Amino acid sequence: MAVLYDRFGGLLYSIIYRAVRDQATAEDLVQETFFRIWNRIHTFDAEKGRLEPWLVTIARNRAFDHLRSVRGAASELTSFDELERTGYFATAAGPRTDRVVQQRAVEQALTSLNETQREVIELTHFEGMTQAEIAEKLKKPLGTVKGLVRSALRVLREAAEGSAQ
Amino acid sequence: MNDLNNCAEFHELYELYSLGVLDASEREGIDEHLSAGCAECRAAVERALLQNAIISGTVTMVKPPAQLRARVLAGFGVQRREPNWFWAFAAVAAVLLLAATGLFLQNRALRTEMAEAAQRNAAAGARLAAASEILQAPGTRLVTFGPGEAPHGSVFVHSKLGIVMVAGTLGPAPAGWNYETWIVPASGAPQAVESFTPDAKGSAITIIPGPVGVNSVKAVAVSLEPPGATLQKPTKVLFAAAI
Repeated sequence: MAVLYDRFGGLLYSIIYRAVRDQATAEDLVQETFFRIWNRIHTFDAEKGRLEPWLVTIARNRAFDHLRSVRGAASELTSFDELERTGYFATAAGPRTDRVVQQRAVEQALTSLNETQREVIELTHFEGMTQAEIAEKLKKPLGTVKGLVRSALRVLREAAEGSAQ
Repeated sequence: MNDLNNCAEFHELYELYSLGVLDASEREGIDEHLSAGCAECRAAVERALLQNAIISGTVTMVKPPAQLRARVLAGFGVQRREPNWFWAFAAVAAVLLLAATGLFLQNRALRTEMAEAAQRNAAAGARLAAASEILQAPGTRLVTFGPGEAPHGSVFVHSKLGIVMVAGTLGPAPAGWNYETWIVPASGAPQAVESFTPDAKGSAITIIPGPVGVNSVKAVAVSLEPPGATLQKPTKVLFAAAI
């Protein structure tokens, strides 16, 4: 676990801190995240999947569960338990260099989005808000928000896929 | 089963689906579709998880507090000085060999110390396993208390496996006093469950194993208890997390 923490602790803390924006809460959630990782690490096959997406998914789910609990939204700790299983990361194998290139492409694509598109991606991916919650927060019709989210995700998806070719 | 219309429509949603941010009606439609065994869509979910991880990876990096590493690793029985035990043992053994006196007694003492350490580690491991089982069991509910305040933390409740409470910013107890965890029933007096000592950073994990009567238990509470407290009722309640 020390090796895992040294390699990924900074990234997982940053993702959680970005979501909850409170140091003490982020520390608690990082600890919970490593509990969960520890309990399942034996199922991970390094030859069939990459570790980082799996760890990020677990950390982000912990942060979102916390935010939903604070917001009073329906919260079920294991609602996306199945998606945290390592089998879902079997096709994620590939050179880390590809991942770095993809991430740079996505970072660049993020800057090409308009301000509202960037905001909806921030709210979905870093704060775990549903499209209905975003519509309420931004005071925009739900249909408009869905359109913004989908168009933004399409740009980011095409950037990642394009860079991997 | 592979419904092309549904597949094409769902592919646009899998990133949101795997973030858990879809509205219930959309999520249920996808759950139903995936459970029917659509291999194409399962692969699309895998790609969406990877894409989400890439997007999450664009986060502005924030350096974790220096003490967090020790706190996380302490939960697994890993301590900074642990690797030094090996070398300490080796040095002691070498000295013993050279000295050739008192070998038996010193070696026995060392073995006793190691056996005690192993027992402590086994007990810590058992607690950790129990906590992990509750944290990941289907049906576990999460309740947070005091977010942004001191103390604060999370309570994980599973009706059959028990309760795990993770609390932070507790602060040191006054000299001679103890922290005590209580179960507060819907009716009747609170029951003292376990006393504990927070770590140097004020964090503590309490595990209450066994079935929880979700309708009969109202809250989990923590109090400070003075020396000699009879634990018939909490002395100084710090917080109560309603479950």
